[in-house]
Amino acid sequence: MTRISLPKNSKFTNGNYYKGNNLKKLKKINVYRWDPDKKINPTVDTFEIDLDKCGQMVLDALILIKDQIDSTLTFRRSCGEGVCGSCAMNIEGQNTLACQKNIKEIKGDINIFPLTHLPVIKDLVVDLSHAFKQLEFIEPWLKTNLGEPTKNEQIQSLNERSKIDGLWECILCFCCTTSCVSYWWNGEKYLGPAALLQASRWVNDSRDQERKKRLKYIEENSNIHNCHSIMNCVNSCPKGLNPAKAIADLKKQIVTNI
Amino acid sequence: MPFTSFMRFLFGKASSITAKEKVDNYKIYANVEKNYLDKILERFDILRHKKGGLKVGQVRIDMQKTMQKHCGVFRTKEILAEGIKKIQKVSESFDEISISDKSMIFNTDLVEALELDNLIAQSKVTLTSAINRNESRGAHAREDFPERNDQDWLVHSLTWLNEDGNTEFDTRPVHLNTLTNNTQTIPPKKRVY
Repeated sequence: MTRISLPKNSKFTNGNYYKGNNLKKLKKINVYRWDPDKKINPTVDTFEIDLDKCGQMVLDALILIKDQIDSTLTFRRSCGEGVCGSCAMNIEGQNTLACQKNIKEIKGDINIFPLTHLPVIKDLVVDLSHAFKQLEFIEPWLKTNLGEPTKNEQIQSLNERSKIDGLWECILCFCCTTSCVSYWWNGEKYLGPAALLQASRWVNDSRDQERKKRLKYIEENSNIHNCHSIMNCVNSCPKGLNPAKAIADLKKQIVTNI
Repeated sequence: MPFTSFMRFLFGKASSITAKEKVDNYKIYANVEKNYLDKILERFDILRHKKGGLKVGQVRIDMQKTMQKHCGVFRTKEILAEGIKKIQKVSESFDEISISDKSMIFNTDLVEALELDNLIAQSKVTLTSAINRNESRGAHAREDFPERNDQDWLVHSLTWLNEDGNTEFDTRPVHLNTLTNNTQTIPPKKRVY
């Protein structure tokens, strides 16, 4: 049996403790910190915050910490309403969006870590370039053989349009991909749930004219059979989508349609 | 989908094709003075080494609250005038910020400071435009001038922000005709719902 141990530089220790004054509703937030400039192992800093003075989501707590306690805390954020996918991080062991996770759902301290299994750039910011390269790989745009651009719209019936429901809503936060066990093992070759969900979105689009080519391409290049329906992707998706089902559907179409 | 992104989807391709036709890659269209580059780097460097007593987030919340209170959709001259005074104070307090993140890797502390600097400038010109436009139009609802006034105010607002931090206001006429004969011009009229 293989024995696995973590690399030495990934082990974290307890870091600074930021005590608050006169906190009516105390909540402790443990945040993973790593500064690339310092050549030391990551730490977990603890911040005490007052829930009476904080918004209701985990992202609000992080912003409060950055604005009032320690402005070196680094994380990505943008819309704050679950449509941009910037604030994806691991909260209480689950990859999700900080702006969609209510503090009330968490009993006890809140543990916040970066997205799992990706190189950390700084604190909660991870390097997503490989994941985005894999998305590029499936060529996520409409392909038609029409040649010259047409002046008319390409019409879709309601029924045809409904086939991409549950697929187009993906915001590319990569919560699913980074929680996928198969992706942890074979991330170099296996495209992962986010990219494959997108592939399925274009395969099922009635306006796309290269469906068969796409399916063949996916079969040969995506290592799609590395999906063993572990369903971590479904568990973690903050938009409630089902990448596992999309992948199963792709597998079926590959078998029946090429 | 916000209207502007919708427009981008609609016209993005057409405008890029036109740009490719009309813009020559190797032609220099404007000479940028070299000291502009120095100015940009100076701004960056001064901000990066700020050591005051305030955090960026604290000044930003002051700016946000001022604009929310004094530059909302429904506004009067008095409210706006008070807002201009307050934003001046916010602008002064911006000099007191401190950047505690010294890193050059993903320094969000510094990025937020640069953004805030721009937003304070935006707040100033927004307030100046709003206090000078003595009419109501769309999301600019002056309670002291409740009616739309096409006679005097069918014009674009122009505001300059000078280097000393003060603003100047002027107007520019609006093009009321389409550029081709194919499309009829629609004369402006009051919106009634």
